[in-house]
Amino acid sequence: MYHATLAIREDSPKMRLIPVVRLRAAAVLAAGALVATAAGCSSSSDDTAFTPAAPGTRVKPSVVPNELPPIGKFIRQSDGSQVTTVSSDYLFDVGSDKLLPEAAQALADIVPTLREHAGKIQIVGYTDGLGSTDVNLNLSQRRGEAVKDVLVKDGIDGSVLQVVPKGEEGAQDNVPDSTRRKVEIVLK
Amino acid sequence: MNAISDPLGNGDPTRHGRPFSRALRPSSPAYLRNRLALAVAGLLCLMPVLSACDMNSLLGKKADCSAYQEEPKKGAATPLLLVLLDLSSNSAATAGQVATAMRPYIDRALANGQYVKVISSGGTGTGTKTFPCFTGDKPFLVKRNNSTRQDKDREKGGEALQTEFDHVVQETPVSQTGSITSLLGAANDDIQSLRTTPDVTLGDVTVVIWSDLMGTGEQGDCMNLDNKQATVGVAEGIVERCFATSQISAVKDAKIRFIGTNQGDLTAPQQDLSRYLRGELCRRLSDDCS
Repeated sequence: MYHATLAIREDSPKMRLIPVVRLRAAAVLAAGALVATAAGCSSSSDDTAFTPAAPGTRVKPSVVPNELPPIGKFIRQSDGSQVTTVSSDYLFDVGSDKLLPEAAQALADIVPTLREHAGKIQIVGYTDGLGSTDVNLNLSQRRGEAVKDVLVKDGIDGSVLQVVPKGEEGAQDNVPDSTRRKVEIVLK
Repeated sequence: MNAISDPLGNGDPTRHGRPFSRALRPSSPAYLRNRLALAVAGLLCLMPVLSACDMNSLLGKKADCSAYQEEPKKGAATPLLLVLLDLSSNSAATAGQVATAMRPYIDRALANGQYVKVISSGGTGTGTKTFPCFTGDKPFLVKRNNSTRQDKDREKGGEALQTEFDHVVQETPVSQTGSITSLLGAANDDIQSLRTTPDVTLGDVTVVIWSDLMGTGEQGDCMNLDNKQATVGVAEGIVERCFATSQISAVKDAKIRFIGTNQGDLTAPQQDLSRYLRGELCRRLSDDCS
């Protein structure tokens, strides 16, 4: 039987039909797929085309860096204690008690001074007068604890660190005031 | 007859009772052309299947947003999601970032039912742009009796609307100068206008703001940051001026969510100032802001 098939001439219509039929079938399949693709496979699709605008970019403003370190030098007070102040806005996002990564680095810079201090160290938290008194007191407590945690991680003995939450003490009620949002570190 | 090799290792090349003709020999051009055509056809057939039949993105077509919306229920308060896009770029990369950041909000809208209004601005001279898919007068909601079908349809809707957000960004003309000021300044009016739309009863309002807060180029614009220093005090002064001159006002009874700050290519001082500004804006815009 094979010999009989093999005997068919290569240019016979039957043999030439096979690739032609396959190619036609492929063309039909491809056309069908293209139609389905063009229709987005959805009869409910809106035909409005998406047209991108011309590429555009806003120029960034030139912002001047703040050359002052976020945490200043310790200043001696009249009672003999030393204090440094850092803005809560630098340490935390608005309303948050999660210390920002760059803030942890800045706190690490004062660790040598804290290590040399023999007495107690207070972490005093303040807020401005926006929001409720209770919420602000609680926020200053949690922020103080966050600062304490990072100092302990940096090797300061936790037993000498004392968190003192002051909340909106001294702030004007319902007034946003960045100078009131701060953390003081006091060397007693 | 010459012996015919079996390049695919499929055994006897004559196993179907037919030997290869010269035209069909594996090494012949006709054979290769034949196989290539079949492979291309097969690939084309699979394309819509592999992409879950959602070819809108590939073809640059608009999604059929109405498929994921329902008619407003008379008298029933439905939450509003107002999206303000202050775009400093309309690149595909930015579009992808915005669309990805918006996805959780889209999913929530589809699950809980929410009006969604989108307003974009690309800065000075470009005006503001609104979009037929996100007009805020017909709530998005996908609710089905069959939970499996519901999950699938919500996923499909989420993908379609995410793509729509991508298009929204790329469709917005962006100029070299501008800021968030005009969009924020009009937020109360935008919400009020929806409140007075017939058959629309708004519930809770959430305003999502995409902006890097890097305003530039307009002297009278309170959010123009050209040559400003990256300090808390400067940020506070900038925002105080915006409210004192009524260029920006508090958005009453609304949750505000800033997304997109510190996205893109910003220097360290720009990042610092952007963060401080977000804090200052938040304190004055709403009691519930982050």
